[in-house]
Amino acid sequence: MQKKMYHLRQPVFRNATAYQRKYNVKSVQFLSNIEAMPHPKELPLIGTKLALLAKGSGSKLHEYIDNRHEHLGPIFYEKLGGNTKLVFISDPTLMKTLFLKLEGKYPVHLLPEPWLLYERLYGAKRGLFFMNNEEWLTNRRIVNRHVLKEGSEKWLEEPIKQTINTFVKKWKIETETHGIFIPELESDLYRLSTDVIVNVLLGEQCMTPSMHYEQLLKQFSEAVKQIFHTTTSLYALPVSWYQQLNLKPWRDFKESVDTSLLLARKIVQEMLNKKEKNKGLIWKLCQEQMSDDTITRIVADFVIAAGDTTSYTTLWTLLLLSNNDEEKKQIREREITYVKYVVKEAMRLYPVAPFLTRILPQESILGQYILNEGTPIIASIYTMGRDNNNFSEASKFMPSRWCRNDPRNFKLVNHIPSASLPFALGARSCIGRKIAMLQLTEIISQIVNKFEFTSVNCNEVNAITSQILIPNQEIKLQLTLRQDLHKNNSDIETM
Amino acid sequence: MSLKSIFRTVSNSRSYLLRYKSLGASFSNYRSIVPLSTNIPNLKEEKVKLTFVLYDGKRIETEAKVGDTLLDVVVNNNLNIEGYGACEGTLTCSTCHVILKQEDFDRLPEEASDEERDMLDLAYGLTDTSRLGCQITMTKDLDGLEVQVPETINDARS
Repeated sequence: MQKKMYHLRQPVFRNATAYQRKYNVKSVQFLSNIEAMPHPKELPLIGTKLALLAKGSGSKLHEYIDNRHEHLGPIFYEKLGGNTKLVFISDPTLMKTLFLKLEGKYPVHLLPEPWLLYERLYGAKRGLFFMNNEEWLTNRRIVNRHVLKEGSEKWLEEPIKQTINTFVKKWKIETETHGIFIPELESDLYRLSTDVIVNVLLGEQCMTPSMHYEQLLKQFSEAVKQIFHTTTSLYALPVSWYQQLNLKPWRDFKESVDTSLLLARKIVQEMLNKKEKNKGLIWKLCQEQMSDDTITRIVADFVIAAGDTTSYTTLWTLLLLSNNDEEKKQIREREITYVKYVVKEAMRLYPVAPFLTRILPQESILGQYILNEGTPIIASIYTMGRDNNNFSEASKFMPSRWCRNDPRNFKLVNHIPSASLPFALGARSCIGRKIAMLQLTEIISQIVNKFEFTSVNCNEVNAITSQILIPNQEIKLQLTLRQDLHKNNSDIETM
Repeated sequence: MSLKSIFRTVSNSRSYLLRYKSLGASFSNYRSIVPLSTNIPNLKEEKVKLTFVLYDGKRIETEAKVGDTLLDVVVNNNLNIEGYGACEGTLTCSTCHVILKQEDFDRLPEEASDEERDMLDLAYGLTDTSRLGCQITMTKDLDGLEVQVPETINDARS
């Protein structure tokens, strides 16, 4: 037995010595390969998928993995039904190593299997999220210059604020006519996010409102919502089975992707036709000599990606604030920076992307393990943000913890800012981060300042994973116009 | 202008790759990114002296154009500082972290923005006089500036 062990250790060890020389690692004796990594016990053949299914078809994936981290530590592997060992990490240092170093020059992530299959079957050319290598980097650099580089907020603010003003005005009118207003929160916010990105694409001068355009956008945001619903229902069996048997979930999924892509391209085409008049992102990309085809691909994916992420983050933030008068008061009294902390704190607790993924471009060391090229690494963003070792009183919604000079933070022993990574980190981090932050702070600030709102959900709201982290029930908010504001505004209007 | 800088980057990265081809394997775990320059062209071609002191004590003395950021200087002069500026100045990483002398830190015209501070939080070996190189623009006033490049994530292994 001893001898056999030695044989097994030998190659790893030799490898490790090479690493020691190459990277000047001091503690080689601690390096081991993936086999030595903690992992759950699994049944032969079906792996741990059964345990996952028992938890509710993956809709509780974030809790399932959270639980695993609790028992197995900040790094473990699990197969989740497939043959591949997926390495899960939840430690801020490991995350930094992954995103700032191991991911390499052209970071690659895992794509949802149904999307990949769709791309393979129908050859639909997609945007940045689907691109890799030099094609990705070239285009990413161009887009970076306009939506992420310092100073881009200067041009982004205008279209974003305009869209939100219009949106809030609509809610105001509803409340004025009905007294108490319960919006169709999910759809309304979804539509807002779509409008924001469309207006960013078009610049200040937005597309002339028309029934045609209105219909187009409405259909589009409905179709995109469907993609996410239908993708989730494809997870019980291998995706190719659904497709080959042409089962309903696959047909629904295909139809929603078909419709969304078609509508997205149509919308972008119309915008391209009008680009000369507007100085939005589309115009800027044209100035960069980007081809119409590439613009269409990239921009259509933007419209798809921008919708659910920002709208659900708004929803979570509103929910957290709904029965928290103290925080609403703080927002009303303090500057816009405070709203940033509120949004950051909401994203720590409810990161819409609870898992982020990277595929190792080559053999690398992560923690004390030597991992092969091609190993998929899953960053458990949800778990990391809710770990008491990273944030004291981690389950508590406390925006002030992000305020650097707040005296109340003295009693918070743990605060590791890099343990909350809703937008990931590094070269392939969220390209819409700046747009999203501008939008989120503006919408939260306007809603809190103009309305009183309480949640009328009777049952406790929990998070479920449906591609992204969403509430397990419809959130119902009851809005009334703020009294003092009501007066002031009518004064202004009569003047 | 943009086309030109793309060409420059392409040719830069080519020569970079050729130069470090032999290192490709052993350093392949590191980023060998040649980021796109972020400088504003046609500022007067005034040059000032700038020194990077690496964590192992190695000094890289170089000339910087007024108006360039420290990241631009590293890119444009092909300085070999491993892993520097991975996100190309979009404030989404902390790999261009530098430490300044107190007096230099105090005389920088602009304080770190919230976004920069968020990213600095991620930096290894953060000090009270730390800044991100992509956010420091060279001025005539900063002639002779000396900055320290701390141990990065690439070196900090436990």
